[in-house]
Amino acid sequence: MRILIFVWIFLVVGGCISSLEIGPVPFKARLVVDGLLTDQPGQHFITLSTSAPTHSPDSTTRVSGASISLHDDVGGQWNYTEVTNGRYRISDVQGVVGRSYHIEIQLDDEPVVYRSTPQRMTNAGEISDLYAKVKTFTHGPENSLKDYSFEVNLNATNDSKGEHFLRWRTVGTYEIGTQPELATKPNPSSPMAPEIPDPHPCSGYVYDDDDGLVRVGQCTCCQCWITEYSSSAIIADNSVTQHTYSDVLVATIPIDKFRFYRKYHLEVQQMSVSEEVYRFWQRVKSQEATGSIFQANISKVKGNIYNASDSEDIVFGVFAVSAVTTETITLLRSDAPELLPSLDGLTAPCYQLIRGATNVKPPFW
Amino acid sequence: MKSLLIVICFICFSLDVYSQDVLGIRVQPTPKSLPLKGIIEALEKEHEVRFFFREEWLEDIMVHADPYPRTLRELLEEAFTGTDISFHLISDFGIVIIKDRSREIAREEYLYKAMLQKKVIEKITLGDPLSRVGRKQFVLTGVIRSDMNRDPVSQVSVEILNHGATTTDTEGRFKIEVPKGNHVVQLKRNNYHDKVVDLAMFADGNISLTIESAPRVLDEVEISDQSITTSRVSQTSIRIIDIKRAPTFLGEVDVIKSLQTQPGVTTVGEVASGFNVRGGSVDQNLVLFEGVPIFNTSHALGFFTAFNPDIIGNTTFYRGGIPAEFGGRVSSVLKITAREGDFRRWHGSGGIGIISSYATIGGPIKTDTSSLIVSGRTSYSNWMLDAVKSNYNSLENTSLRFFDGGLKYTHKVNAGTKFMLSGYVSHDDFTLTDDTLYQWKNYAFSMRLDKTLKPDLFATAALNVGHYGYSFSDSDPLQAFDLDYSITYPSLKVDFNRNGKHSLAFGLHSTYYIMQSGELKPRSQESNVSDIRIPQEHAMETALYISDEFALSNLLTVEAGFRYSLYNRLGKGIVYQYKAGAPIETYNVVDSTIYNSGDVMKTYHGLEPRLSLRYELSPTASFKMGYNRVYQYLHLVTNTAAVAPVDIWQVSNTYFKPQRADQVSLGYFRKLDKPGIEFFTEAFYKVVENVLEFKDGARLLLNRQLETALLNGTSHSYGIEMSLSKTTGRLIGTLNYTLSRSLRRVPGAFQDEAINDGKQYPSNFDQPHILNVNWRYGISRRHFFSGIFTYHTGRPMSVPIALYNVDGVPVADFSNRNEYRIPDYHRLDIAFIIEGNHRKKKLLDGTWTFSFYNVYARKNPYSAFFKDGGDGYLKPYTLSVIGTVIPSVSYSFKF
Repeated sequence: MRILIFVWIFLVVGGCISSLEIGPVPFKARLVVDGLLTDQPGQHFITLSTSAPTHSPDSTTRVSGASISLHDDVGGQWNYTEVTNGRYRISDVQGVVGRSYHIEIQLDDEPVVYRSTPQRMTNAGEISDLYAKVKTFTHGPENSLKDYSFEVNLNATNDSKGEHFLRWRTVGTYEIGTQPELATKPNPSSPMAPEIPDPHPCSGYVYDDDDGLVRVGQCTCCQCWITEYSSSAIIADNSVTQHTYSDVLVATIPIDKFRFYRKYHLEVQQMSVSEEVYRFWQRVKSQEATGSIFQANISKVKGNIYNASDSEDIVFGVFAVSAVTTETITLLRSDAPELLPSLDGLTAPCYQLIRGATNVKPPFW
Repeated sequence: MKSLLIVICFICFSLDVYSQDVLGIRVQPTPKSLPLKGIIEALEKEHEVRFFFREEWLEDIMVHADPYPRTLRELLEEAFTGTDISFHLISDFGIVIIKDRSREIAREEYLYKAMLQKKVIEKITLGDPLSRVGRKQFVLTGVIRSDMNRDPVSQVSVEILNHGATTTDTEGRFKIEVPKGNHVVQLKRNNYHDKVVDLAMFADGNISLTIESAPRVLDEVEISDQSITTSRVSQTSIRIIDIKRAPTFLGEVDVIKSLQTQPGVTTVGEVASGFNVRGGSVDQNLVLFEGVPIFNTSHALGFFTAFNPDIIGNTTFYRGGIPAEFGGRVSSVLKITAREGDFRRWHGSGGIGIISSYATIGGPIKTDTSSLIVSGRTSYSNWMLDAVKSNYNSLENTSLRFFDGGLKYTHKVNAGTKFMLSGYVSHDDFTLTDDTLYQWKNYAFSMRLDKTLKPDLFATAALNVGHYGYSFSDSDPLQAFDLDYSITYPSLKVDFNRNGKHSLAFGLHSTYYIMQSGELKPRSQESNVSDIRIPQEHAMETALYISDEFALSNLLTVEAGFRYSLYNRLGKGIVYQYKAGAPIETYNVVDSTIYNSGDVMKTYHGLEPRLSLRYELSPTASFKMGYNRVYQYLHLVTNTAAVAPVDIWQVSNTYFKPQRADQVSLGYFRKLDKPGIEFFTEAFYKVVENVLEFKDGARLLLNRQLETALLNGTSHSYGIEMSLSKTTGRLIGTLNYTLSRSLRRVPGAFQDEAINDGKQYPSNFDQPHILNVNWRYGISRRHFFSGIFTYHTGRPMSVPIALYNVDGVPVADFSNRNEYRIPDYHRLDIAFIIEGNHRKKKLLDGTWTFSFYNVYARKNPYSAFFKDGGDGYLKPYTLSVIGTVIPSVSYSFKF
């Protein structure tokens, strides 16, 4: 009887989820603007690119050769410089709270001007506490397998006197270490014979038949650092909280042998945004809602860039103006709930091991 | 005798060709009605004409007054119209008057046959056969009741042999014109024995008849009021016996799912809550249980209907041509009447299924005076879920529990007064995870007094209270909260019905709404959830209505009326004013007005004309037309296609105008020459103003300023519905096809607010093609094989058409709203039904139902959604709740 009942329930509740194939969808590449001006000193960037079709998300292209200018509400104007393909920089300006800014973009081959709506910079408030706790995920047969992660939460306040639209983003950094000097190659005399040492040139070692491994310089590929950026929209929920935010989950860091080779450094940026940009991120967040059977109808995400002479021309993206408050937390390998395996035996240059890895040590490390 | 008549007739026809002179005699004006016999005698004296007849044939025949001269032919034709007497000319001067006895012979033969078949024959004489009333037609009215509980029985076919037929209405009443003389009246109704009335009709009369209930069910699939014998277009009655003989989902008899096989009715997805009528949304359907609106008609998020089949008496569904009696919802009315307990014996019934069991018991509290019926259903699915927890981990934290119940107490105060007390309750608990609990509840109570004030005037007064609410709890300490939402709606209804040549219905309905639109309470000290309470909203809706049903001619019947509704949004409350010339957004508030308790914050009112026509093209065909305007003052606020667990109802206010629907329906109904084959087609066009659409990315729940999240739009629906039924024989069935569109337009006051740039787009409920086929094959009188095939176009949806990236976050650009569609829906269900023996005296009458739902295991989408396809970008997926064939077995019984 129990088996019978099980079958009933499995059939009914189990259901199934399948990919939905929609017929051919017409596609037209659109300009995408991704810009941010903060109240921090240093460089501020705008990236211009094109949208990609759904069947080929990586086919986006950068848009270079554009003229971009920044304007404030008291007549100030600054011009961006293209530093790499489609990436534009401005470095002699710092946003001021209370002031409004907008940008104007003119593409290389087009006379049209794209403009952002004015964005007023507001206070970012404070991050009062940043802390992590271990979260356990069980899976596998009889829940016999466990995975762990650190959930990083914050408590924060905003500027209760003014508009209070907040967004958070994170930058995680970790180190990995490999042993490229221990690399080997097959023995040409016989495939069965022991392999011959073949240290990578960047390891600082060479192999000599007589002397074996000999250190001849500094290893430039033994230690690398990887930077991870948040890839989801994290915004303050103003609907159920007021001016203080408690236990806001801002990052989930898987605990594995790479990320916790030594330690993991997480920087959390609390950014004030205009209501318009907040709504942009709110709509992006609504897209992130996973398959609820009552998922709301997903709608268009509207940015704050428009074609000054053609309202029919659609432009994606936003130009945001944010005051930023930063807080960091460092999580150690010893904080992990279980002993993690070592990276011994990895002989590839570290920057080949994980995409985006660099051997340039971050200043805060 | 017959041979003689034939010879005479032959002679007559032969001679009539050659001479018309005598029949052309001008008869002087008759200032008053005179006996024909006297006129004939006078004519014989004045002219060279002779009449041959038997005196008793002409005793009752009168010639009506006419101020103008007539020819003898005109006079005789008029005098004999509606009788079985005719005349013929012989030898230029003689007129032979002949009485055709074939009808009388047929009547006698029918009565004799009925007697041999042991049918109940009742002799009724109305008026004095010897009286000399000049009229040839009389009006027969009456009411038909069940012998079991004296309840009026609707849908009884009342056929005057060789003259015409009608059916009883929901109050068991009928009205038909009958020629003077002797007739056979045949009463037929499924689940009742046939009854024959030997009627002598010599005056207008009102009769009361009882019919005897029968355990055997006739081989008919579904009596629909779309037959040519009723006057209203777009009206359907659904019988529980037919639903019980149809395939079921997990053995649960479901009145709403049965409704979804009707033309023009559909649903947005598998097991979705509610139903959609002619392109309308779920909230546009008025579902009444004993006159009280029921807001949530489903259990378990739409898997099952919230009505126990054994408490349901009559179910009538209007999807157009809505009578003036009903209002408040713009698309349809589903009127469910609870059964009454038997006034003489106690009976019980019940059913055992995979998911739930139900039981009903009813009988007399005092014989022939008062009765009670109590019914209940409860799920035991949670027990089942518990049983499998160790085997299936995904269910570890899921639980599902529901129950519903109803009762009805009826007390006959005297012959013309009846008092009724009824109640209904349904409750759902649904836990998805350890810390999330949904609860829904419906309560409906009604106290009603029926009184016959005069023989032709009937009054009903009802005091009702309804309540709908849900709560949603999260016990995760960091965000623990309770969310409560409820609507309480007491109402008063007073209705009058007057019979006669003009059947009048008029009354007053008034409902007071108390809406707690949402209360969010933190459940723990650690919870970072704020205490949010959206203030209570109060509103009052009052309506007066009157309608008149009358025959403009023998062929044309009209039901015309209007309803006047008055709506007040009452304080206390706040109305925000927004910057002129700017979008209604929270940041554009410039002022607010605070209203105290009882203050009128906003008033709407409107006249709602209703019209229903039926023109009888022939005894087997009719043309029908219906028009209605309806105002709807309540709106279901949602941003999902299916009804979601936490959707809220919003009363009309300063910013949300009442929805106003205008619908025209035209129908052609025909019984084909082959017995039992019926066909009808209906076309409709419906415009609904002020439908609410959500703004892109709007937050609806616990929003104090919902006007900033919603937009007003217009809905246009049109289509054609066709139905072909076979209602007799071993194989019976119906094929329904609907071709329709449901479109919306939201121009918005500002460009950002316009949906799809203000152009028309398909609504969530736009399903151009809907096909339903249901059939039942009677293997024997106790064994049936039945099936249902359903097909409809997939509902519209928006899909991602481009991807990009902002600050490392993937973003999808979506198509215009509802530009694409989910896959089409189709499903086949079959069932094998074994009913108990049909002996009248038995202890228990049991029925086994073996069902196979979704026979060919179609993975129909319940929901379309988007999730990360693994590269950070959204991809569309569909959830098929039922991905395979679902066999089930259930047992129901009655005693």
